[in-house]
Amino acid sequence: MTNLVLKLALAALLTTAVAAQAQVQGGGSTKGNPLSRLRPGEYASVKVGCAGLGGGGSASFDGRNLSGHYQVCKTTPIPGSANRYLQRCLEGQGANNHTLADIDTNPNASDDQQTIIVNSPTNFTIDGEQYAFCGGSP
Amino acid sequence: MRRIGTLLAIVIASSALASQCPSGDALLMNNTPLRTLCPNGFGQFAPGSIAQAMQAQPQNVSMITAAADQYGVPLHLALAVSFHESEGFNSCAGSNTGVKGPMQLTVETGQDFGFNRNINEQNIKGGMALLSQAVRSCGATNFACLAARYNGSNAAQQAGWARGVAAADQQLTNDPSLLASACQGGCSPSNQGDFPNGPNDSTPNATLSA
Repeated sequence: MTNLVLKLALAALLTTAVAAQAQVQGGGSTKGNPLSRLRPGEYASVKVGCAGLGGGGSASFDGRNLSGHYQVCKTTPIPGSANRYLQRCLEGQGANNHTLADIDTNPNASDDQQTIIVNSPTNFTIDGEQYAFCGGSP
Repeated sequence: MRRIGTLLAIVIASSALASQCPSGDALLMNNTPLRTLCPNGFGQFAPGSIAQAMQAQPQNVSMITAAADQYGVPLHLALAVSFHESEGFNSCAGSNTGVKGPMQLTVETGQDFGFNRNINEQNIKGGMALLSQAVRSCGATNFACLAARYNGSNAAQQAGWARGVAAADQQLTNDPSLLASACQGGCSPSNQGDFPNGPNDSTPNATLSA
């Protein structure tokens, strides 16, 4: 009997942990990060169109993090603020390009808050600028 | 004879900083903060055609023309890169939290060449310095190689950059009248027209007062 109670408690703990992890990673839970609806790949400002990919109106989404032109960012939802995200970013260009792993160790990383609204799986708005999916995958 | 030699040396030294676009050379000597040009912040713009963008941004185009000459970058390539990077030679293209300006330079890359990317003229000179370095490694027509050196983002972004810059480069190369019109942004306090997201038209252009 004690064994059964222990097993049930362990199962409940595991379920809670998995759900929490899914929420943090945007793993598709309805309670999770709204960004998880967004299709990973390359996006361009609708003002420029996909012909502008690689230019100032570009953005990349890796399934969890949304990075602007010549940036690599860690995107974290701000608890209690719908559609508000903390963007911890590093700029990188040409030979000075950086990876996600560099963000926590590079003193040049900057923190900003942005409003990101996912309009559909292939369209989002960031601080009022609308972006649409162009294809590809980072 | 010695005086003539000295004079010749001064002329040669001066010509190293001069280009075929004197008005662009003069404009490049200013130091205008991008935030002064873009009081409404930074954002995205519909670039329109290259001809339209050149007409809308005559001062930036003149400075790009002069800087290309100073750094030994083919003019058609310099204009193609800025057109693609900044949605039509636009100082206010970019984001408030990231890269911005006519050449979309990062802080670190600007510093590598001794420039402050948040100053409009230095943004252009720093971008041209990077492009010059890329051209020396790649030549002026290997756009995939140029994308790796100038853009350096993921493969899809680099491919988009190469396609966009190549297309703009081809348009500029095939239309000599576009290149011939590149140096028309005169250094005059009354010259208006640049920076559509900038101060209203009744304010003299901040570039010229810096």
